[in-house]
Amino acid sequence: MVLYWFELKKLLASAAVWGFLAACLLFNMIVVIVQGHDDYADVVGAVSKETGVVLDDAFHERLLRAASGGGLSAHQLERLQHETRGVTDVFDGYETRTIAERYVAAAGITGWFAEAMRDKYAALQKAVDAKAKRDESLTLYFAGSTHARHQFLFDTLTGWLITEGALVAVLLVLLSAGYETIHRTGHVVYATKTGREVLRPKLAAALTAGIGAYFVLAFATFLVHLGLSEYGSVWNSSVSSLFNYRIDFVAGLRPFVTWHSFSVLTYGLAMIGAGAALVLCFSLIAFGIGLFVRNGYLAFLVFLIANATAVVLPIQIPHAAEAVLAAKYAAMLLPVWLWLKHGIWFTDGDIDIIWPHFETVGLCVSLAAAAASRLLAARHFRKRNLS
Amino acid sequence: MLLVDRVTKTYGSFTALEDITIAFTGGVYGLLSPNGSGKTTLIKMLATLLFPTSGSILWDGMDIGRLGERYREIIGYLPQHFGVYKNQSPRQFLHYLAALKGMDRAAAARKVPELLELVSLGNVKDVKMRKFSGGMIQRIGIAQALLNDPRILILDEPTAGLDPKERVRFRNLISELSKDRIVILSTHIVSDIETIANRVIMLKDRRLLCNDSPSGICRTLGGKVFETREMDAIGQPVFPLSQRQEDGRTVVRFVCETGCPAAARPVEPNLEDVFLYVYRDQVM
Repeated sequence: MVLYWFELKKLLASAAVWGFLAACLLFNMIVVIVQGHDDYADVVGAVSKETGVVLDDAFHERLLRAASGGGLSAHQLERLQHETRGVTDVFDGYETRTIAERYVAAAGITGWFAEAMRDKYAALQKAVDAKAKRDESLTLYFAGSTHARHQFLFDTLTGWLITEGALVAVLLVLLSAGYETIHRTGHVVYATKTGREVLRPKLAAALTAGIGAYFVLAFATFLVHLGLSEYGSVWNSSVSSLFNYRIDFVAGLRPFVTWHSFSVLTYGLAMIGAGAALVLCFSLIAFGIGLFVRNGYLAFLVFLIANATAVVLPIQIPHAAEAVLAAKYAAMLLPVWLWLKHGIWFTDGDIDIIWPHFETVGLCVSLAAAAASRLLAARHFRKRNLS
Repeated sequence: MLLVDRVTKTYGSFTALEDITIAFTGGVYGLLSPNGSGKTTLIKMLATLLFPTSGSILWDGMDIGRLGERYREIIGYLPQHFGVYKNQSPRQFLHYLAALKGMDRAAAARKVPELLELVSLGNVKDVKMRKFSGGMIQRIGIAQALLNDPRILILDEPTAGLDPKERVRFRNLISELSKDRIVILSTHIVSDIETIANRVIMLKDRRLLCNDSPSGICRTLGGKVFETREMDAIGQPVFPLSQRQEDGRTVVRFVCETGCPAAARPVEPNLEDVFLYVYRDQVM
């Protein structure tokens, strides 16, 4: 434990890390201020405190009362009433089979892969039916501003947070792995009683510092966003609200269907949690690379090239053979692909995904693989000549 | 006893050390040879940073690789290129190394100031090491090697960067410490070990050349070292060792394998003579 604190202090003494963190925060503030503002969404959030978020008769009565209480312009009231009046449950009678068939046809897949795709949507149908039973879509969210606000929150902002968190974490991990090389202290450190086992506290310190930096970024960014926006009771609204939707070139416009029932709050927490797990995956991969490539800059370059290759290969290689197709679908579980598809986490995914819960499966597989590769790298390091 | 038993170290097709066998029992062992002769490779193997390609290194009959931390906890090691965290103070840095050496906080709190005083850095113990001179950094290196009161002290070029006064202090310190431990001191500077080494180990062509007391090693040139003021008068083939000024004239010291030349007088060989003669094809 003592060594853990020493290693943590070494990392926190790095001005470069703090500088990068500050730059990320500044960037996020700009994103929040420039892209995050939506007058109408704020009005809906404020109204939701009075009306609640369930779109039933009581909602409309409370909406009228709130309007008569002032503070809501006639135009905004009219818009909200227009958007919420006479709405129906989008999940009633909604069939997911169509999506499956469109994806199968567009991807040109047959056999096991086509069946896997159909199975995924058969499973999703159960989730849709459950949502229909709960009238989950009949919730307010941000009414007409839902799609824009949802995209901003869970695609743009969360995407930047995960990217920045991963970069800070990778920077910290590579700094930790290469610290002794940078300071030419490796020989002294690895000849001590602790010796090469110092990698354990080093990794623990780097991971906690990386995850900590991610949470600090998330906390500060959301704090500013929430300070500038009005959410009211919208937190309790379902993300599968009828106002939320996805646009897909193959499947077209379709409701935002999640495997489980998520409120805006729980979906946000799940996204941040999954983001932390993804940051952890990237960190473990970077640490493994850092043990092989002793130069920190070179190690970062190798990390970038490895991830870029993982992105490019599944796109570029023709899917002629079944094994290649299997590799492509398996590649979608890689951290870099999970990062690219963060905007559709906890949903059925898209044409590239044949498994339900792809983000959970992907994170578990990636974490296990990254942890195993980290163990192998550490084992190699223990036996390596340190010339 | 620390035993280097028929150790060979190769890097691909390059052989750095070949079939080295040395037994270290106690006292100061001076590892003396020119740069690039394999000293540092041997030292790094003793410090478990490198692993022998063949052969083994045994401490009390057990392989040091297998002993792992049980071996590393009894060694103190100063590498040839010693680095520090320049954004830390000597006190912070030594506390970190004390933790790595498995020392508890109380023991470290006692030992760190004591060692900093010993290496004359007590007055800068809380100053960041950013502006420290090479000599000051080297003294921190010596202090860290002594932190765990090691039974085996391994020092690779320990006097690099030290001024003459510090060198003398260091030699005295090593002499003092060697009473109850093994000190392995690698150097290419003869004066570092001439007066303090119990045994001198010399490597040549990647192999062990000799492992003997300084006087024993000097005896190998007994009757072959001479001095003269009239080098031109020497008609025999000789190997010049050094020269110095005496009463305004140049005195040349040389080795002659074929008896005493008329214009020269025999002198007692010293370790430097042996070093220069043995490595005559390598020394610049």
